[in-house]
Amino acid sequence: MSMEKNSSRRRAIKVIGSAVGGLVVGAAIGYLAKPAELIEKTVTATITVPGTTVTAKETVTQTVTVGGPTTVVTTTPTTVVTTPTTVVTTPSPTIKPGKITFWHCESYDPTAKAFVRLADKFAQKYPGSSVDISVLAWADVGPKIASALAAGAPPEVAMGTFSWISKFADMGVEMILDDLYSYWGNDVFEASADMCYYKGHYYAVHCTIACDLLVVRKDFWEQYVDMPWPGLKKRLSWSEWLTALDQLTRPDKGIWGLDLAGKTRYFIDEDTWMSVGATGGAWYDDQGRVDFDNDKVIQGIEYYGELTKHCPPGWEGRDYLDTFSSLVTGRVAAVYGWPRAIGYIEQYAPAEIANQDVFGVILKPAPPGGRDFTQIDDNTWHVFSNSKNPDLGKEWLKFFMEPDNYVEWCKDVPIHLMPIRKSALDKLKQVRADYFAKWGSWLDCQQYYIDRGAALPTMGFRKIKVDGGLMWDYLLPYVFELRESGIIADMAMDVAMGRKSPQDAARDAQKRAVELLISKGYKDYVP
Amino acid sequence: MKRYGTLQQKESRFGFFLALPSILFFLGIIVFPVAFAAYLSLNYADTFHLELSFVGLDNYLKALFNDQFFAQFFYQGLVYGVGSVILQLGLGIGIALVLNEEFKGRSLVRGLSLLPYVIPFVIGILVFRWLLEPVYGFVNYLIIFIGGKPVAWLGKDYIMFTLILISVWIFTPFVTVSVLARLQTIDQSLYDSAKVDGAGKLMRFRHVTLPALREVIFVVVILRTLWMFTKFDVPYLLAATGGAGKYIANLPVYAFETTFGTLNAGYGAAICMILIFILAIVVTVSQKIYEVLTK
Repeated sequence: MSMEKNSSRRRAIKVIGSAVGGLVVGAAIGYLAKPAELIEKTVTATITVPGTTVTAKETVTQTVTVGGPTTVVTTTPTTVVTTPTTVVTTPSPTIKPGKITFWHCESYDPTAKAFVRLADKFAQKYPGSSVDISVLAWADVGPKIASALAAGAPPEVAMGTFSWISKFADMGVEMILDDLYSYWGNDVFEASADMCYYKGHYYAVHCTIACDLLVVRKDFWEQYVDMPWPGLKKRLSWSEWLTALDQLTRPDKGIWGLDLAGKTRYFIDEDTWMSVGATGGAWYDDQGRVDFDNDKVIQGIEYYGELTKHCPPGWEGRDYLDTFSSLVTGRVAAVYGWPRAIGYIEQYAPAEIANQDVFGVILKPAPPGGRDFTQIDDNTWHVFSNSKNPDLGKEWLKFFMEPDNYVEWCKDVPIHLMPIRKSALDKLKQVRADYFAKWGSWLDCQQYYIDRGAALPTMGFRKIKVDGGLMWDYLLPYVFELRESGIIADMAMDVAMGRKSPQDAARDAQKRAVELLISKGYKDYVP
Repeated sequence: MKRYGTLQQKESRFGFFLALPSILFFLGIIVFPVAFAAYLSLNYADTFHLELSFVGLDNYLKALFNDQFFAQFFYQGLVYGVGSVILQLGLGIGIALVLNEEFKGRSLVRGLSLLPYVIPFVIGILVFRWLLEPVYGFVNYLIIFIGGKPVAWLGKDYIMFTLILISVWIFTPFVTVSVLARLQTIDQSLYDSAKVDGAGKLMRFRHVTLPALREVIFVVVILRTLWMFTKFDVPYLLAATGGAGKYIANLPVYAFETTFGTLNAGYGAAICMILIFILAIVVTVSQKIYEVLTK
């Protein structure tokens, strides 16, 4: 009986062992034996614009080593379309069906739902394809993409920031999107396209052209401040603004002059960067080397510290949305905020005051010798070339940016999610004419900055000369690491919390930045 | 027969074969990550590329002797861990003793007492953030309503207190349930004998209840200490790493920030290894103390 049992066990072990061994060997042989497939296709697209017909021809040679990690895509666009208002109706090149993983940070329900609707539409247009959507908190995107790339499994498309471009392009994982830009022609705002241009190629796509604004309760201003409402007519100096904040801060009435988001490093970085930018200075020198301990940076962080003295107690633990809650409930008089805050105002402020006559905007103050300076929406779409279906990811982006689809996403937050495609913006202004009329001054304020080239992506100050050409400084190769390191936020909070003088904080930041750059191999950018 | 050895050897081989999945699982899920972290800690490793360059003990030396944040975050982790464990223990034992008594609605109260531990941490923390919001939060509203001054619960001066408060609220039920389970197994005859011997309530607690709880308290203290020292989610969700977050960040948060913020996986791994080393010492010393006390 026992012998029989043992014999049966041995047989079972042998069978299982053989099966597992066979599977492993078979998989290995299959992996090694499958030859690389060479796909070559020529795509001819006819683009019709009023009065012009342009034929764009592109040859796409794609070598795919199935089962292996290598994908080489060579794209040769022969024609760049430059005629305005292109109406493209041609079918897209044949794309292999598959699944796209798509990360975005739009937590606002209507815009998040618009993505879902568009994903369904995309799946209908591309049978066999689907878009798997994940919504991430802004502060989590950096770490999440870092871990995804380290694991070699990035999403096809993700919402990121401009500073990702150089980092990921240099790593060879950011997909070149020249053909997409050629396809759009000059229907894309030049400023937006220019911001995504790096080392001769277009990489990411700017999501929207919104600008960060200084929102002030006009009713409080008229009640407490002995200066006329400046609106968009006059840019206040820093000292005038601090005086106004003194007058607006009324702890006895439970009102504070200003609210800043102190919980999240991301927002501290932005506010600090805007303060430094307004001085006309930068934390990079003319050669792109890191330069924190210069007078302009010190001036900027000192000002940031002064601003925080007008914030409610505990501001350092409060988040961005908390600042808007304070504004709409009348607990603070001013915030730095994005135009999407209009939705928040309309939702939570009493209906009779939810308008631009109460929630006004003014130009951001600057010191003597300073300049107009604000932040342009720092959200960018990135396609990762080492994802599973990068071409399909690019196709999704192309589909999403078609005017009808783009407007479908923008229309619920019209003054913030303003399309970078001119035709889509025109369409949006028609669709939401009422909204644009109601909040016209908010739109005008953004226009003011855009017209003057004064709205830049976070961490950017100016163009600098690199290798004989001009390049935006936020595309310096170390900016991603610098931003993620927390050095800037620490510098600002050292001053705001009274831990260090502005000079010491700047010196410490410079020391840490130099150590960081050396450890990351950016020795050329160390002074 | 010779080919396959004795029956005992065959049984052992078969037993080993059956245990193999568990062994592989243990090696893959526990041993490999720790060993890899130990290996990483001896290298400079960029989080993106994981291209390693050997630096020996540099990461450890930097953390221990040349890092302005390491000591601060270790200290903050200590305050958080010790503070919250002591409070959890005191409250947890107290609540367990109450819940061990007979009273009307005891089952309902027992169920409710578990609630904080059942609610997902993230929800609990967000609710607390809302309640304690300095400007428009409900708690400050009540304080102002009764004539008091609002408190900046999320500001740098109170954020550690708030963190401990929330942690005590979330984790005390674990202590309660563990202690209550032991209380229910204490032989009633011990209390009866003590009563016959003239012991009052306090004496019965001291000489019957406490000795019976010794083992469970030891286990609970060890577990809660380990878990509070390695706690990442609660401090991170409460204050992230910007302004106030710096005042409650502990070593796990710092390791995360170093790995995914500064993108230095090697240094992040070194911080984790130091943490493991510290906790190993804590457990060993506690074990020894327990053995001495129970001899």
